[in-house]
Amino acid sequence: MNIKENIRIAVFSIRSNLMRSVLTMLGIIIGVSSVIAIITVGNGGRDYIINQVRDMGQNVVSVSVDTTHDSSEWITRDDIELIKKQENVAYVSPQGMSIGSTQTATTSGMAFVISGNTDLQQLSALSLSQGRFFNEDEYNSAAPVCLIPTMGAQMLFGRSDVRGEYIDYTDMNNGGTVHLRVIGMVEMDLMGSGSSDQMADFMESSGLMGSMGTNMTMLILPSTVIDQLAGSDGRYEMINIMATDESKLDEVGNLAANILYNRHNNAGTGAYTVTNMATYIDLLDNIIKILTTFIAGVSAISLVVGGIGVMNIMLVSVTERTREIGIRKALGARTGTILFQFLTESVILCLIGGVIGFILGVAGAAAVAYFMNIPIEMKLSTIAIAVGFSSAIGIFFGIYPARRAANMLPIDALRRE
Amino acid sequence: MPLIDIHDVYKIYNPGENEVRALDGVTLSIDHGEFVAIIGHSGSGKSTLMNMLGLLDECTSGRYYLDGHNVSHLSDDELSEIRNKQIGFIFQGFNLISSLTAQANVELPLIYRGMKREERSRLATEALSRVGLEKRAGHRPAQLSGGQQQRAAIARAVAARPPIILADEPTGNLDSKSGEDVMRILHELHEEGRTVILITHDNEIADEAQRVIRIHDGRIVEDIKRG
Repeated sequence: MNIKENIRIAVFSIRSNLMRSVLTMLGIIIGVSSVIAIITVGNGGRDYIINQVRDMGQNVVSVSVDTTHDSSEWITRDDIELIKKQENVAYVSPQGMSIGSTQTATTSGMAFVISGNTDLQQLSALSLSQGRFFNEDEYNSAAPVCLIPTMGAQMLFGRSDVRGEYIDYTDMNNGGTVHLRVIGMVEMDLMGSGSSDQMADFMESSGLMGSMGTNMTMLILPSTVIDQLAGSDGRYEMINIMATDESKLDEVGNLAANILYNRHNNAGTGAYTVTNMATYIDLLDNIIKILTTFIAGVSAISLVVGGIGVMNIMLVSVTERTREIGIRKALGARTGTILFQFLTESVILCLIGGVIGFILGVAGAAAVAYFMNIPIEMKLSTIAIAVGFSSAIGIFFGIYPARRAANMLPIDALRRE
Repeated sequence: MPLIDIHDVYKIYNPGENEVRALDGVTLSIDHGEFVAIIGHSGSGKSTLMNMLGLLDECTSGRYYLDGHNVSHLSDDELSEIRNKQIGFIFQGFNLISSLTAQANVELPLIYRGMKREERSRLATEALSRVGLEKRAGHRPAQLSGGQQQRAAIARAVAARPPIILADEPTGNLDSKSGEDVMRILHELHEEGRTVILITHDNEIADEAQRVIRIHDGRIVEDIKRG
């Protein structure tokens, strides 16, 4: 008795009890599709989040000042210059953030300002679509120039290239106003990468735009401009450092902190905190992995329930077909043949369920990804899991009914009505 | 050497106080090419004897030689193989598989013999046409009359060309016309040289055989051979 014959018998038997077979498969379908959907969305979501975080600070270490400390302990421009001269340091920039209002000839709105020195471009992985970044001279002279995302330009001016236009920015902290000239357009979202559509989506979905009742954009300026508005001589709560080599990140971060402690005479106070983004990425990665595994595990329970359903139906099938089994044995079917026949049937039942579940799961994941605007990642291993899992369930839950069928004495089976 | 040779066979249910001796020391031998009727009332043990002879059931004690081989203590799979090769069964209730066509039913023993599809199909078609069912090969049992079902079952029994045909009340569920057809086919098989063993409670049917073995309370009480 070959395997083709077996499969034919199994398919035939599944088809002749179609309704029952479909109901039985339902458990497997639900189980497999939810596991697949969760794993796929989980993987895609994880990659998305990790990439976002990584773009924000790949190869970047932050040194920040504990805010309870006096402003004399804050990081000065001279500190930054010194740190920049150290070995393995590629770029250093203050990381300033502030919020204020904008005014152009025709519109008014809000702005989220990121400020730094000329190294900010590399540190934030900003990509220019038009124009240029501010240069050393502009930075040193606190020239009133700015860069704006193309999306922000659309909102304020109704077009994407607004180089040479002017924006009046009034800082919310200090009330100072500066007349900024746009010198460059950047492609970015809030996280610092990707397309500006995502920023628009984010703002829209977070209600940022609605709650402000106005146009919200991001502006990038030399930190000296903000310093001038605030009347400060350039002291910063946070700097970002990029190392020449990712493996030197911790070293560079600690070196910078030591320099700061030395120069501010505050060693042992714990004023400065070194934050390596890679550590966070690892942590985040682990948390998401654990979450995904956990949720997938929970939905795998439905697979077990589905498997028990298959076993139940196979037992019914064995009982119903006792006579058939008796006839087959009387005609010369071996124990193994009968075992294999019923096992094939339950595996096929589960495999069909698995394939349908897989398709539904991927469709579900694609739908979720579409509405949440995250990419999905389809791994070969996911397919292997779906197929492997459902056939394993078929075998595991099919073996008992199949053995029961196979071990029946032909005479007992024939006598049963 | 007899084809079937059983010695002192007992089949005892519920051994102990309420034991039932379905077979109570049966010794019997049947030669190649015989047409034997085993006759008895219901409960006489004739069905048990048939199951024993057909290797569908195991005896409590005794020895069974089939074609000179001791088959008393074989494994399940060995018994399946012998049934497949040596014995064609015809049951009172036909015992066709309802989900399969007549053709597929007839092919079953050939499948279990590991025969190739083409050969299987050829032999099954041949067997079906010999019982006059060639036009019904694609029908399911439910689409056939009782007589046709029994003829399909006979086709199944003979398709693999086993030396022994074991028929358990083959006419029991049939009208007299269909019963006659079945008996005619059995005679033909006998004339071809097969050993036909017929179990029945009907004296008239039994009288058609060359040899009549009467069983009562699990014992052979009469064994008449006729020319």
